[in-house]
Amino acid sequence: MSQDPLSPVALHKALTRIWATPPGWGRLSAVNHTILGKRFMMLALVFFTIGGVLAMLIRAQLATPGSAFIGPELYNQIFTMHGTVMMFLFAIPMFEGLAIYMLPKLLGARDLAFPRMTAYGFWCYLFGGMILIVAMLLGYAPNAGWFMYTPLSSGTYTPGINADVWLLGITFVEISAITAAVEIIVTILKMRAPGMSLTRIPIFGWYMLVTATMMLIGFPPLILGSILLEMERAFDLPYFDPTRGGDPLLWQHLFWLFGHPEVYIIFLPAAGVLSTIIPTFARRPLIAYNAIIIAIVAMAFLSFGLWVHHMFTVGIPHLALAFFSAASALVAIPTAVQIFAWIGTLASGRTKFDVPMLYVIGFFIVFVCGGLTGVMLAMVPFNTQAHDSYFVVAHLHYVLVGGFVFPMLAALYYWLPHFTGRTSVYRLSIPAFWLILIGFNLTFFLMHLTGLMGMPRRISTYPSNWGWDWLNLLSSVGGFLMTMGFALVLVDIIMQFRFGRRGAQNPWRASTLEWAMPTPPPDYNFAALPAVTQRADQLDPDALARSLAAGEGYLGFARADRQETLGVDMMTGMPDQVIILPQRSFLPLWTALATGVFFLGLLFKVYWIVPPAAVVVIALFLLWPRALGARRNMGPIDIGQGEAVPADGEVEDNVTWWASRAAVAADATLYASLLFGALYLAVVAPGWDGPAPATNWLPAIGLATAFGASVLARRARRLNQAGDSPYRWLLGGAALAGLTALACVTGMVLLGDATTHANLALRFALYAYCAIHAGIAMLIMAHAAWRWREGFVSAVRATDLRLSVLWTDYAALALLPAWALMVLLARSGGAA
Amino acid sequence: MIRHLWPLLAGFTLWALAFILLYALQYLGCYFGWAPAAHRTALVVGYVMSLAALAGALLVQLALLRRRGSAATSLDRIGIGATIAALAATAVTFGPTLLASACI
Repeated sequence: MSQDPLSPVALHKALTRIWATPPGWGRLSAVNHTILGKRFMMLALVFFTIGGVLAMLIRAQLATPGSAFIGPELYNQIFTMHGTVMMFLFAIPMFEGLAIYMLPKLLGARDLAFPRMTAYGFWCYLFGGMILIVAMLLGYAPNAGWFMYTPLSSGTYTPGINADVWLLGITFVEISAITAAVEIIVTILKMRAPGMSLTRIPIFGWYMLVTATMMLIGFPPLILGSILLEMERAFDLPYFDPTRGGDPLLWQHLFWLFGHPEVYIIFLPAAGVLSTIIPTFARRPLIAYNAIIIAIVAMAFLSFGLWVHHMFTVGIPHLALAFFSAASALVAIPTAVQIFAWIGTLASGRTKFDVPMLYVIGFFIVFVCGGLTGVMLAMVPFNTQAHDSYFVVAHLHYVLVGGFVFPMLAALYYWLPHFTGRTSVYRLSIPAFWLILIGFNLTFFLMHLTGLMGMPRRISTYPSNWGWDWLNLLSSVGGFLMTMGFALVLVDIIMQFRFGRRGAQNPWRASTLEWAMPTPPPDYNFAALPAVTQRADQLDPDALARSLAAGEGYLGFARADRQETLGVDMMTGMPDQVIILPQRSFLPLWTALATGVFFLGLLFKVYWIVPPAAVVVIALFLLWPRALGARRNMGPIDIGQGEAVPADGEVEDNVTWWASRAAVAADATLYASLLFGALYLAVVAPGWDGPAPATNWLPAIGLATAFGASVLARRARRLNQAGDSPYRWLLGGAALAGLTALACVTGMVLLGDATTHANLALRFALYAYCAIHAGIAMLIMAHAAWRWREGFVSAVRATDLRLSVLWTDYAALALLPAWALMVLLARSGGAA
Repeated sequence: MIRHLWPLLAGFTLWALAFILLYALQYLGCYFGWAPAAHRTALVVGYVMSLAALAGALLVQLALLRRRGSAATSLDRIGIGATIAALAATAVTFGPTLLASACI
């Protein structure tokens, strides 16, 4: 049955009533992607300002030789915090914010797949960042470098809580990165405008799909490393202590397994921005669309095969060095493919220049220089000479500022009219650009020279007889010029928000969907969802905006106070479900606060508060699905255009299912990193000798009960499909999963003193991982049983049962390599 | 869904597997003290197998493209490009198995 058509104004009012966030304290309940995307970006800019002030302190200290401006201890904190803030609190959240704000608009959806998860991620980012900044203000900032190398960051050499602030604060912040990655992947794959097949999505969608997948694979090794190092610092479990079977190099491997893909995780969204902006100003479609997709995929894979180029000097055989050196050089090729595609697009179009293009040109100049020094550093002999010198500092700033900051400034000026609905009056952006470009090159180009002249990085002062004096002074002058440029940008943004004049809806004459809506955008994005019949970067947003505002399209109505958007088939883009999104809620805020208590308990070693905080977090998470789902089958629902599709809870291919699979992929990556770590220590660690205690039968018992739980979960699902009660089978499965967790915890207890050797500490970690996952399986099965009793589950609405099977299977499969590895560790010796 | 994306991912997934295989072979050979000739042979065999696997994947994708004819999607063609890129990357990245010293 079709809905009665409303006038555009009435439709706007009806949709706004459903999607709007209330004022006052109600703002804290916001789950809307437009609001949260802007909050992410604004907070990232605050952290960028803090990181910039820290950089100025560094340059003030290094401006003259023998400076006593700040002592070495404070300097260590400042350079550590500068890197940490810029990488973890600015760069990653900045592009996450842009993606959160922009993706649904580019794809033709009304929000992201999990709005409350977006809000939870934001609060984790805010609270985790605050831990780091407050610690810095109190003089307890991390001080072992943003890479936290062991043994320097171990308890012996960095007592106190400085390193713990980094390990726990960053892990807290990374929750937002993982949640954002899951959201982005699922949204791009499942929540697009009807007709937008995978090969029609705007190129920014491809970039973000690949980036989010890289985040899902890249972040877990660092999270694991942080957990292991915190366990070493807090409980003396010796994963990185070479005197007890550990190895400091394991930290470097885990860190750079994250750290190098991280560079591309930061660059690719910026490249996506460039691939969006450049065709608009060239007034022609992007050339080599297909080649760019291949290049993105190639970069994603290659970036995981070159982490050791950060470790060329640690003593690795030539053959391994050659693998990583070759991969490091090769990655320049897909980068160059994109550069040439952009140049080709500009050269073959009728290019017009405006402020965003200034920053695009700045990107070309700076990033290409950084790329070339990157190829130099990929070569082992040169790398050995330049290692830990200012040449590396210059290179990384050319790559990161060129490859991220300049494109983000271009993005800022390109989309500011979208954020504000206004255009700039004062044109401060132009002097700002020149100050930034000149200041940047003055600062960092000269660092190539100081580096080649032998100046090491991370030193707080230097003598005056090495010829570095005037170069450092000029670098500092350049740094302050650049800061003036950034300050002007900030003033310009404030002026545009406050005094900018109302502008056209599509000021750049762009061809992408985000301009097919009023600016600033309404809470619901599109009054109706468009049907897309061609590549989504070659549309006519002006014509679309008028018809969509009139409700001409899919879901062009307000229904039952529900926040509705469409889910589509991943490949073809044909609508296959109506996704009913959860509305505003304070639950994400409360959950993040409880998570914060958990992390603060660990930080201040108030361990009694940690288990209750964990229980509260779990309890709050279990409250989230309360408002989701239906107690009856709805059947096909009208979506307009004469079509009807089921609700998301009634199809197998729904967003919850895909998000769970993505979460399992991230989880499995963390586990694979742990298995790698165990094998690495058994093979490489210098102090791995002597007999080790044999393993007992507890893993085998756990394995039997875990597979039993898995069998019961499958049986429950089959019974549910046949219309019979799965209740008792689910409870039985939950009990078996609980027994598995108990067996693993008993195994941990019976290990004895795991602080004596890494062999036992690794078994402790394996038991802990398996216990936690058996616990998760137990909770999910018990929760599914409760949902079935409450009427949320039927033969059609069976997502809860599918999730039970997924997580019980994973818990059982995780025990297999754990057991095998424990047997291997018992035979490998090392715990005498 | 994932099966539709495999043409795009297959080549570089094989590259990643080759990386793990050859890096592990290099390390284990040194750890267990294999004779240099045997170690080199194992590495070269691994290298050739990796190239063969990628060449095989490329041939399969080309055959599938021909069979699909006009029903082939642009994702199929992009996948072939990605596999060619992965084949070249494999040849270059692991070429040093032929000459670089494995344990020094």
